[in-house]
Formats: sequence, C-alpha cells, structure tokens
Amino acid sequence: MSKLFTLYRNEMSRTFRKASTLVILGLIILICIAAPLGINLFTRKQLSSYANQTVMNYETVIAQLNNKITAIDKQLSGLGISNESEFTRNKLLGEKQSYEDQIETYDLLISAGYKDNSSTDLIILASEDLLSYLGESRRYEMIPAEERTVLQTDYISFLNDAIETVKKLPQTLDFAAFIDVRKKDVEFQEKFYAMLISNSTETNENEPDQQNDYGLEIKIENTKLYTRMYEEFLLIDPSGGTDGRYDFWETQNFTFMIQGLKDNLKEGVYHNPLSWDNERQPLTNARREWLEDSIKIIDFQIKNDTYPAGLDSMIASISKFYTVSVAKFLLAVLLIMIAGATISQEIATGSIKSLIIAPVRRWKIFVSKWVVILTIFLLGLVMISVLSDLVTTAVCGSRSISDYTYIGNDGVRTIPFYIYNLLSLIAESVDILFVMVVALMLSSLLRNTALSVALSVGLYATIGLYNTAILESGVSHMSLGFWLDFVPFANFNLVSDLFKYRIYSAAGETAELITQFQSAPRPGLLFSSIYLILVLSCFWLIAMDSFTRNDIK
Amino acid sequence: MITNPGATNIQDTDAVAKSNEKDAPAIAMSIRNATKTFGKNVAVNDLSIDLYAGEVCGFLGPNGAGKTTMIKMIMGFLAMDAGSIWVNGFDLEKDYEKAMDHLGGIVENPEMYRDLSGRENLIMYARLHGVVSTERIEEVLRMVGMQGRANEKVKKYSLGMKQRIGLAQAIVHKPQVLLLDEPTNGLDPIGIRELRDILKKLAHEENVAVMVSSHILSEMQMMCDRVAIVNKGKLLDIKSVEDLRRMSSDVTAHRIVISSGEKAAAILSAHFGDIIVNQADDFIDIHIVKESIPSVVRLLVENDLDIYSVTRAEGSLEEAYIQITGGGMNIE
Repeated sequence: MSKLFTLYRNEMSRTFRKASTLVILGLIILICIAAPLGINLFTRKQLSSYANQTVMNYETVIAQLNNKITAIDKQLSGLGISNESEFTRNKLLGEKQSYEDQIETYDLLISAGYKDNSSTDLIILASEDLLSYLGESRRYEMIPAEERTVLQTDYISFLNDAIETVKKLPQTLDFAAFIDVRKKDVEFQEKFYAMLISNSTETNENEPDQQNDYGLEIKIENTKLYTRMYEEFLLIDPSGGTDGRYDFWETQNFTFMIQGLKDNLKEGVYHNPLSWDNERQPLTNARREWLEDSIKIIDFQIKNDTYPAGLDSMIASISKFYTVSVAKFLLAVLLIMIAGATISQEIATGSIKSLIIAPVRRWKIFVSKWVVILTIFLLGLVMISVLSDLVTTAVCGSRSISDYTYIGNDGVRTIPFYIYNLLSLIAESVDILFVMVVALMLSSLLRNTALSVALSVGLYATIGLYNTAILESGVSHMSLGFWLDFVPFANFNLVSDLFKYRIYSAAGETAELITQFQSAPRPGLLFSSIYLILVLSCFWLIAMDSFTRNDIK
Repeated sequence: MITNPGATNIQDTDAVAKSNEKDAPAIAMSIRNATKTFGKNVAVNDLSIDLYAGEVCGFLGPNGAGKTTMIKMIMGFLAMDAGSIWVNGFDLEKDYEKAMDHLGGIVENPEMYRDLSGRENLIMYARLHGVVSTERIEEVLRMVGMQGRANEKVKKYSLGMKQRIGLAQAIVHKPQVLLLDEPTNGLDPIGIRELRDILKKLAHEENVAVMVSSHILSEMQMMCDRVAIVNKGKLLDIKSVEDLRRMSSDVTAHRIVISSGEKAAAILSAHFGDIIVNQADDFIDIHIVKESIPSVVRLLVENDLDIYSVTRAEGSLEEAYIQITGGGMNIE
C-alpha cells in the first residue's frame, strides 16, 4: 500500500510538473474567473441597451404631442371656408382633441408618479391599466346618463374608483388593491360578454358575431389568467418587483408556469404551460407525482424566499452555463492528453524503465496512474465548480444561486448549492470519465500517444454530436429501437435522473419544462449506472491486462 | 547469504564446482533454464547461470546474442517463456517485489523523466525503494560525479550524464545484485575508468554481485572477475578471466621468425593442418599447443629452414572468445 502511495505521489508530482498540465489548468482557472466577470458585464450592458431602446418617457411624449397640436393649429389657421375645408377642419379638430386627451392622460400619469415605461415591475402593468381605464372612462362618459344601462353606470363608477386606486399605486405600492381592481374589471367584462352573447342571439340568431365574441372571450380568459398569475407573483414578491430583488419578466414566467402546473393537476391532463401548442397529453401517475412534487418545491421556495428568479440569478445562470461548459471542455482535453499518454508516452520515451525496474508490480504502476487521472478529474471538477460558484456569487450576489430543493421521504429537503453544483457537475461529466478510460485503454493497447489522443478526442466530439443529434433533436429512443440503450452515450445523462428537480434551482431554466416529458425516454438510472459500470470496468481491465501482461521491449 | 535456488545447471560448471566448496561465496542471483522466444526466433535458450556476491561478472556475446533480452527478463521488462530467476533467495515470479528490492540496474540507455532534474528523478526512484535519506542521495550523486549537475533537467543531459544518473539510480538502494547493460555507452575514457572503479569497489568492498553485459572484450577483461559467454541465446561458457587467459595460452599464437615464411607455411600446413594464422616473408604466426612446439621446430630445421626466434604471444580474452564462439561474431 505504501508503494502504491509512493507511486501515486511520484506520478502526481510528475504530472503537475508538465507544462501542458500547468497551461491547461491555468486556462481553466482563467476561464472560471474571467468568464463570469465578462458575461456579467456583457449581459447587463445588453439588457440595459435593450431597455433604453424601448423606454418611452412621458414628458417627451407630451412634447411630441404638443408639437403635433401646434402643427394642426397652423394648418387650421390656413384653411379657407369651402366645404372641403370644413371637412378637413373637422378631421384636424378631431385629431387635435385626441392628442389633447392623450396629453391629459400622460399628465395624469406623470402627476401620479409614472414618469416612463422603463420600470420592470407591476407599476408598468398598472400604468397600462390606468391608460386603459382612462380611455374606457372617457368612452362611457360620452354616453348620456339617461341612456346608460345599470351595468354601464356601475362600470363607470368602478372605473372612477379604479383610476383613483391605480393613480395612487406608485406611492402606496398596494398591489393587493391593484389585483382587486383587476378582478373586479374581469367580473365586469364577463357581464358585458354575457350581455353581448344574449343580444347577438336575440338579434341575429343565425349569424352571431362569432369573431367578436371569441375575441372578447379570449380577452377575458387572458385577463383572468394574468390576474391569477399576478396573485402568485405577489406571493413570491410582495413588492411587485419594485425593490429590484426579483426580475419582473422571469417571475412573471415562473408564476405563469405555476398556474400551468396547477391547472394540469386540476384538469387531469399534461400540457406544458410554456409551450405555444395546445397539445394535451395524458396525466400519467409519474407525471402527476412530478407535478405535485414540483408544486410542493415551488411553494417551499416561495415560503423560504429561495426562488431563483431575478436578473442576478438569470445572469448567474447564464454565466455558470458558459463558464462550466468551456472549463469542462478544457478539462476533458487535459484528461485525454494525460490518459492517452500515460502509458504509451512513457514507453516511447523510455521513462517507463525507471518504473519497471522499481520493486513494484506492474498492476500497482497501472493503478497509481489511473488514480492520478481520477484525482485530476475530480480536482478539476471541484476547482471548476467552486471557483465558478465563488466568482459568480461575488459578481451576482449571494442570492443569485439557489440551493437544490427536492422531495425526500420526509418532505421537502434541500442540498446547499455549492454541494449540489459539484455533485451535478460530476454527474454531468460521465462523458469525460468515459473518454478518459477509453484514452487509457488505447494508450495501453496501441502504445501510440498520438493515435490514442486523436481517437479519444474524436470520440469526445462524437459524444457531443450524438447528444445534439439524438437528444436535442427530440428523436425518440423508441423510434430508433431498444438497442439504442446499449449505446454508451445514451446512458450519460445521469444528472436528469439524479437531480430531476434541478430546473427549479436555476433561473431561466423554466423553459426546460418543454423537454421535461417530451424528451426521449432514457434507459433509466439503474440501467445506465450498471451498464456504464460494466462497460468502463471492461475497458479498464483490458487496459490493465495489456499493460501488465505485454512485454516492454 | 547462501541460497538454494534449485538444481544447479550443468552448463555452469564453475557454479557446480563452487557450490561444492565449503566456503563457497553466496549466490546472489540464480538463473535457471531461462527461455524466451520472439515468434520463431529463440532469443534466450535454456540459459542457466549463477552470480556470486562480491564478483563482477561479464555477460559477453556478439550483438543479438540475447544479453539484453536476458537482462530485460531479469528486470521485469519481458516475461520468460520458461525458467526461473532467484534474487537473493527470492523467486522473481512469486516474490517479485522482494526480489526486485535487491536488484538495481540499467537496461540499454538509461531514460528518465525529461522534465525533471537528475536529482528529482533519483529521489522519485529512491522513494520506491524506501530510501528517503538525503545523505544517501548526495552520496550516490557524489559517487557518480553528478553532484554539480544534478539539479539540471534531464533533457539537457548528454548520454554519459544520463548513464551516471542511471548508475546512481541503480545503486541508491544498495542492491545485492547490480545488472548493467552496456554501461559504458556514451561515457568518455575517464568516465569508463571511473565506472570500472565504482563497480570493482561495489563488488569487492561492498560484496555486491555485479553483472555487466557488453560486446567490448577489452572492457570485460579489465572490469570483470568472471565472464559468461553467450551466443544465439545459449551460454557457451563461463569462466574467470584468469582461466580464460590460461585457456587461450594453451592453444595460443606463436611467432616464428624464419628464413622463408612461405616455405615454412607450406610444410607446417601439410603436416599439422590449419594452424597458420599469419605469414610473411620472414615469419609465420601459428596457433598450436606448447607441447607441439619442439616438433614444429624439428620439422622446420629438417627442411633446411633457419629459425631465428620462437616467441609466444600473451593469452587474451579475445582469443578465448574466438575459440569458444568458434570465431563467430556473426549475427544470425
């Protein structure tokens, strides 16, 4: 055992003295530090330039409207008294009135504290609603009081209250009151819709205005859906996004998803809430269980304020993805180079002699070499995980990365994100482990470093292509046949089974719901694990047998 | 340590004799019926040999005789097809690590990790033998004359410097058996002399059994106490250098300075057969046992030839080698 340790120690110190090892490890460290910084700067800059492009300053809008009014006034003063001129005058006066109304509306918005539409919170929604209520109010006020129906009178009264409530919102931030206003608005819309249906049925039974009816119905359904969504939103973020802790649009997506999940359970079907198609799939027991667990996890995250939404979380998520991808690729290259050369290069350069003449059995030399490769693999992953987490956290804030939440035997459990990130990274790196063993085997069998490294790099590229071609194109395993389970690459995605709720632990991952059930059914954790252990053990034993039995000439 | 490595090989007659002596030196390494084939080519053929503590034994043979193959089998590079090797009483097959612990050596040119210094290479290797003492490392570096260059990377070393560090590696753990395959390759004349001194000192003062393979006869003659001659994978003979010299002097070259070399050669060839080694106008060199010299002289005088002198050339290893191998340095 002590000789094995000495061999290991020698091999480690030798490997870490190699220039190629040091250069690639240095690059990995550089990527783990520089990439999160760069991605953070770049993404924020992109987002802010996008936001600046779409910002509408209300003062500027009023100035533009005033300019239009001045132009209309000029045109009016130049008009004659002909019939034609009269028509143009009326048209221009109508336009001028419209502009004045708009100015009045924007003035109201400004006086209520709404300066522009740049906010990314519920205030922007309220400002849109306020514009809508003001417009509606103006429209219904035009109906003479004696001609108004009871419903219209009640609606005007509601609109006046609604305008007052929403006007005060920037000061009060009373989003519960705002949601109440929306709910009441929906109730009125439903009443108007019912009335419209009954009128159209009475007046023209054969040709109802189906298009309008359908449009209104959709509008009501949408408003209801969004109102429920904002109720969920306030559960996550009572500030309505105004305190900047959560990203408004991401939270909105998230709440939309929760609604979808709850609707699925209620309706007994499976439909991806983020998918545009209306395809409904049967709600199998597995899906039901997953949905129920998902809702429990989300409720837990909301209650414990660990939900990973927010601009920082989003940037952290993007940053982690790219940083880890590039760093992992570099680590794979390094490990292929080490494993592909470990035996063949020593034989080629003759340095193996000092090992062979040492008082150690060959299997110990082989095992020590393998353990060194394995150590670099694990150390590399720890380094990538910890370094990228630390830098990302430093750049995006400690709340930007969420713990992994899952359902254990005794309810909702969590794994600290540093540990979860490392474990999931290890599970995601089965492909590297596989290529490492293949490189070692080739090095031992072929005793040709260039060939071993080239074939292993080719294999690594093939795995990437396979993943793209089979998994991401959505081609079903079933359609390609059961035999595909025995392709080793098809068994690499252990992380999906080990951490099946991982989409709830990273911002921006909700879109993965689309593939949660639609992706190809994989062989399963037990099959994959056993199969990979068998295949890797075979390769490893072939490598060891070749090294220990064959002569070194 | 006297060992019992099994039946003594009949080829190694010297070993048989020594094992029968009461105060016989300890057998440090014993090779029994070692055989190795590469395809149809038998590289080592049923070779048996004993190596004694305190001796420098030469392993002599032409290129392709199987010397390196045998050393590689001992050092664990090649697996034997048949036979057994015992080192200091340990069977190499069963007690590999214990056996190898008593063995040190250089196989062909010593190669080390090029990115590391000579000292680092030495320390790494020494650790595997459990040698951790800095004093020992410095001692062997001094012994091989590398203490001044030990911190340089091996890739900057010449072949001779590598040989020196290789030798340091081979002796750092104070092995009982030292195997050196062509150790003088790349060494300058001073280096060769230093190596010779080191090996003799190790053998004669520290009781190490040293086996040196080479095809350079003069080197063997100066360095070795005993020489094993191999050809085509077989052990042809194993004798002390003195015995070999004596053997060569039994049938050795004599120069006869004579009135007509040509006539003398014709007469002697007709009478004694193929004994003429060399001839000129005024002398002939003949290969003949000393007992036949009077008959040769008488015959020449009877044929009216004037003899001015008859001198015997000194016995050399080369002659013995040629005699044993049948003059063949051919590689087959």
